[in-house]
Amino acid sequence: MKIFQEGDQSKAVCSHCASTVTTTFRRRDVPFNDGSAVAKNILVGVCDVCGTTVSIPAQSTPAISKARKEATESIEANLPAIYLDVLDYAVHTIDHRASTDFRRVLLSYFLHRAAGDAQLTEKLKAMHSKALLRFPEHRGIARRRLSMKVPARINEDLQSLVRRTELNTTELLKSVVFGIQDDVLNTPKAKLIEELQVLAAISI
Amino acid sequence: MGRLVSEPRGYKAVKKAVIAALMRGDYQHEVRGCIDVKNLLSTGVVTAAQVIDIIKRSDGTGYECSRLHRNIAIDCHVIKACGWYVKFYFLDPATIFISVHQ
Repeated sequence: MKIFQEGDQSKAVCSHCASTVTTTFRRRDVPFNDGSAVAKNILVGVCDVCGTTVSIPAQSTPAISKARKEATESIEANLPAIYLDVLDYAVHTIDHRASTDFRRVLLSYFLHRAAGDAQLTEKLKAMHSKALLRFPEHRGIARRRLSMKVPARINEDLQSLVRRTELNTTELLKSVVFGIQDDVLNTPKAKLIEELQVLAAISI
Repeated sequence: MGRLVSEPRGYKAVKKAVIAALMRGDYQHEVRGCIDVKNLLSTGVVTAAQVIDIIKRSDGTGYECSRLHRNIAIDCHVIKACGWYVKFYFLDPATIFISVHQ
């Protein structure tokens, strides 16, 4: 294992300078590019020309992994497969080039929006019975697991909605997906779709 | 700017060199001010041993090589295998990963 120390030098490509540069290892706080957290005081390679953080040595991975885990929480649910079909079809409709990760972004968007709007929270509650009527659940129905890592703030939104709608996580997600079906597939609103397309374009 | 003479060329040489760097633990990750969450090796979602396994399973059909930047004569290598995408370059003596994701 190659171990670098502060002050050691290496080389990297600096996107800011658009050239190969010598780098000096220093300790810095470095944010994740999805804005979820900051890895604090990790060893990084700094461009000797412009001072931009341009590289990270392998030895910094444990600190990055720890910061990432602390910043994200899991949402897990076992849903009738039809809900995942609807969700993935909505993703495909918004942007057929969107990555599979956009499913997480789309659900997070709707959860965050509903948590901040009392009317939408009520709408979610009402939608639950409509969802069950539209997609009846008979014995032996195919189910698929939904598992995603979300920022802690989105999990707080979910927990808040669970409390306010008196639905558990699985039932709440059925309502959210049913709402996505309404807003994206059945009666798409141009402004919302444009907003989601921007999110799809910048999501990874 | 001229090409670096020490850069491995061709799929087999590139594969051997990147595996050797991973085995030695002698590699870095490219960042542009922020940690790219798409680089699952840098964030510890996958280990170097898992990436070695992915690369070993590649057969060259999923290998691509292009110039890293129009102003920089460094090859950028992409190995696609087992549903994974591994993108990196060599800058003697460093091996620098740009992206490792599914």
